[in-house]
Order: sequence, then structure tokens, then C-alpha cells
Amino acid sequence: MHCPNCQNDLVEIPTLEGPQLDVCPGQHGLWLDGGEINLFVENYRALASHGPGAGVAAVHWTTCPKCGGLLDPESVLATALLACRACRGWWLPNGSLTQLNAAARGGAAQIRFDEAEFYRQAEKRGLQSLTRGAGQAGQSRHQPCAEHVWFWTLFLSAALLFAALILVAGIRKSVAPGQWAMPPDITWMFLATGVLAGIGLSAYGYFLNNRKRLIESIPTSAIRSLAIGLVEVSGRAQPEHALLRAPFSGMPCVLFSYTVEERRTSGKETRWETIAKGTSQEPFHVRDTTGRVLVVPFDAQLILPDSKATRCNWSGTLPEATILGLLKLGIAVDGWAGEKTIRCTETFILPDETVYVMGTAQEHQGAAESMDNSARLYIGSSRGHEFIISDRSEKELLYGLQWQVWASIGGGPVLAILCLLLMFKLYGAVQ
Amino acid sequence: MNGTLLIGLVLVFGIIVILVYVVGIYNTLVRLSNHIDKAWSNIDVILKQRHDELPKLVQVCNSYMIHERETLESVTNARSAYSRSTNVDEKAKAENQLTRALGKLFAVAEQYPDLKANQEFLNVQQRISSLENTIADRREFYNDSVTLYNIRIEQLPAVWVAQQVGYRARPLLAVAQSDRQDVELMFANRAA
Repeated sequence: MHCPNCQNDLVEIPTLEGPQLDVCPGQHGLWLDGGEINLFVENYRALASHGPGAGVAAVHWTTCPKCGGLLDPESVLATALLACRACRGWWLPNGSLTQLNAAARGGAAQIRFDEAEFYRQAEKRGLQSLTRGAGQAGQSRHQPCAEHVWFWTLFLSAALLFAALILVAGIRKSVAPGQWAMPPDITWMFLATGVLAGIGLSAYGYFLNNRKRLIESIPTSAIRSLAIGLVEVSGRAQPEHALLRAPFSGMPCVLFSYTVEERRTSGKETRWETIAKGTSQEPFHVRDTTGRVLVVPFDAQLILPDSKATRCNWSGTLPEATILGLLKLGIAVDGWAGEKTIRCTETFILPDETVYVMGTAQEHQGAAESMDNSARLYIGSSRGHEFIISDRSEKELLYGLQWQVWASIGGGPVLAILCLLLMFKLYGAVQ
Repeated sequence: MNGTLLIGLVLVFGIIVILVYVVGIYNTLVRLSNHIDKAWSNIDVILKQRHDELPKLVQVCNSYMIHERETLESVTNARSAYSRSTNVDEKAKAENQLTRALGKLFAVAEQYPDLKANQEFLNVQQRISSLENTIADRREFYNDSVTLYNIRIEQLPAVWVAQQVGYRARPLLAVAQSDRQDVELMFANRAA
């Protein structure tokens, strides 16, 4: 049975008077089956003279905890209560039982009880059952089969140990302790770097694979029904206020990112060095067919195709608009030896362009739950969660990631193994 | 170069790659499974909001729809049925029952122009309609989450990992046949 006020389970409390009382642990009231009230009042005959709704305003249209029928407000000896027409039970708000007992005194035997004690016991038993229930709920959620997990963990660990022993035996055959065919030189350094690069590439592939799996595992949400937490949305990008201007091309956009590189010469070596990079921080809206939501791009990873990048002439002659853009960013175009050789790259999201956003939906401070999602929530970064903004579709993103994952996870171990083999072949000595 | 070294290298790297891959699959299944639980909890949150609006709605309607007691009772009964339900299947069934009862109530309310002009009724009706749209979206989201999970545990090689750790397919939220039928409206005889 549930409390008509808070819907919590009623707790059964034994009483000295005989019947078990069904009491709300939230202290809203208690339930008496038909006739049980006679055991809690001395002069039960006085209860017969009561009328429906006398002087009591109907507050709720509530249902009976026992049979689901409707409860009607009634007044008995100036005590307000709710009575069920179907099963004749009574719902007594907190304090009403004591009030009735006091109003119906003068019977054959004295009946006294402490109603507050009923509520204390109900609260205590309610807390105990909540603790038990939480434990049972955790058990009812799926738990992986522990024996199988342990079996495979031990099996793979044993296999790894066996393989390591074979490897050590192979190393011992190839390299006598302290004896090398040749001392380590620059080639050895390159091979060692290759081994480390192979391991690093494998690790990079692992992280890319995790990101790919995360994008695959989250369905796209409709904006009007966004829930707080990690979400994925797709829709048209719209500016929050005025459109932005891309720094070098002046293209109207809702988001831009730029990189400025300078060509630097050191002896015979020439390299491009990044001297500035940045992303616009102005929020923008994403609108789909159900609504719109604000996106705050701070700390987002932008995945925008290079085909939209604007590369300026790096022979030393920059367009006027680019020079103005560089000056606005505080980047000098002249060096001590004349005009610098600068390469500028910018990417941007155009207004009404379809974008894909995966980030954390969060509430604005002070937002009420009853507000629309467009006013209540925004999508931004959160520690430990991915935040991606891209003008590619989810399918294109996954396709691109798939190739990178295969190249990294496949190429990394191959590179490391090849470099190690070469190392032992060139530098190892047979015992 | 001796064969033992080559075999040892291949075995060590191969086993490490397999181990990492299997751990990755397991973690993905755990994530998918938890997404389903979260999706259901998010539906529950909106259902609770809708339930909180119902007493206001019934109270307003009660003043005008004096002869439509059965219609109002069906809403309160459905609300109680949801409160009593203990698992996903029962909750889904009770929620469908409540949606049907509300649809009928709003359809019947069209016959009461005074009620339709009542601002409080309009506010509550709009709020409930908005919540029902959100519920529908989140049901779709729940089904998407379940579908992704079910596909993953049936694909190779995740199917072997899923079998070993006991992950089973989960049911979708489906609409019962009775809920697909049109609502039957019966209006009480009102005095002119």
C-alpha cells in the first residue's frame, strides 16, 4: 500500500490495541481498515454520527491505498479524514488518530496510545527496508558472471607468462649477457625510438578506439527531451547573437578556428613553427526539428575538414584581409629581416550548416525543472567526458576514426616488432 | 635471428593486443548496459513530473466535468497503477494506460467550452502535452539504446565475450495491441 500524499510504501506497525497499523514513514498519516478505528477510541458509538465533507474543503482527488477506489473527505467529531466508499477504510492525517481518541472518550475501558511513537517506528523501519531494497536492487541489476571473468583473466595471464618465457629464452639465445655484436650507435637509437613509437602508436590507437566506441554507443537525442549528462545531438548551427567573422577570410560563421605558422630556417633545416592558434569561444545554438540548445564551445575538440581551410600564399605575399586579421590577433607580419613567411589556416562552421555535437548537457544556474530544455540546458565540456564539435555526420566521423584505429592498432605492434627484430639481428651476439 | 625470439615477440604482442581488445569489448558492453538503465531512469523522471501535474488537472476538470466521473476516475486509477508497479514491464503497461486515459480526458474536455477557456486548465494541458512529447522522445531513445546493446552482443567477436559474462538481449518498449486502437469516447448526458 502507498501513502496517498507521497506514494511511499506504508509500513506495518504492530500495536497493543491489536491491529497492525499501516503508517507512512514520511509521517503524512496512517491507514485503518474498516472497523479498526473502534479499537483506538473508547466510545466508538460516538463515531457513528458523522457527515460527509462537513466543513472540510476537498483538497485532493486521491485514491485508496488498499483498493484503489476514491477517497472522500469526511469530518468525524471535528476531525478531518479521508474515507474510502468501497472498502470503508480511513486515511487519517498525522495527529488525527489522537484527536479522535480524545474526542471519543468515556467508554468501558481506557484506551491510550502514543501516535508519535507509531510514526517513529515507521520511519525507522522505512529506513531499514530502504537499505535492504537498495542492496537487492543492486543484486537484481545484471552482474557479470564472476567465475567466467576470473577464468579468462587467469587463462590470459598464464598465456602471457608462457609467451614471456619464450621471449626471454629467445633473447638469451640472441644476446649473450653483456656482449653485443656491435656497440649501440645512432642506428640502435633509431630502432629503439621505432620500438617506442610502435608502442605509442598502439596506445594512440587504443584511445581512438575508445572514442569511436563511445560515439557508436550513444544514440542521438532529440533536443526537446535532452537529459543531463553525456549527450549527442545533430542539427543546424545558428548564432546566439550576431554572426562572427572568420579572422583571415572574413567569412560569416558561428564558430572558427585558426592556426598561424611561420617558416623558420636554422642552417640547412627549414621547418614550419606554429606561432598562434585559437578557437572562437562565443556560444551558438544547434537547432533540430524539436527545438534548439545552446552549445558553449570552450575546450571542445573540433573535427572540421581541411577542405574548408583557407591557406594563404606562403611565398611571402599575404592578402590584405589576412594581414589585417593577423594584426587584429596581435601577430606581427614583419620580422627584423623583412616580411615573415607565414602560413594561415582557418576552418569554420557556417550558419545553418549541419553539425554534430557530443558533449555534456548541463543546467544553467538557477534554471527551474519546469522550463523548456532550450532555456534550461546547454551543452559544454565536463571533466572526464568527450566534447566534440564537427560538421561531419556521425557516420563520416566513425568511418574516419575506423581507419585511424586500424592503422594505429595494426601498425603500432608491427613497427615495434620489426624494430626489435632488427635490433637483435644487427646488435645481438649468439652465445 | 632465431625463431624462438620471433615466436616469443609475436606471442607476447599478440596476447597483449587480444587482452586489450577483449577488455575494450567488455567495457563497451558495460557502458551500453548502463546507458539502457540511465535511459529508463530518464523516462521515469518525466513520468514523475507528469504524475505531479495530474492532481491539478483532475481538480480543475472536476469542477466542470461533473458528469464525467468515469473519465476522471480512469486517470486517477491509472496514476495509482503506475505507483504500485515494481518493474519495467508493469511501469510501461501502467504508463500506456495513463496515456490512454489522458487522451480520452482531453478529448472529452473539448465538449466543455467553459473548461477549455479556463487558464489553469490550459496551462496544465500544455504542460502535460509537452511532457508527453518528451516521454515519446525518451521512449525512442530507450529503444535506440536497447537496439545498440542487442546488436553489439550479437556481433562477432563480442558475442563470445557477452556469452561468457552472461549478457542477454533486453526487450524493447513496445506498444500493446490494445493501445493501438482508437479511444472510444462516451459523453455523459448533460443538461442544456
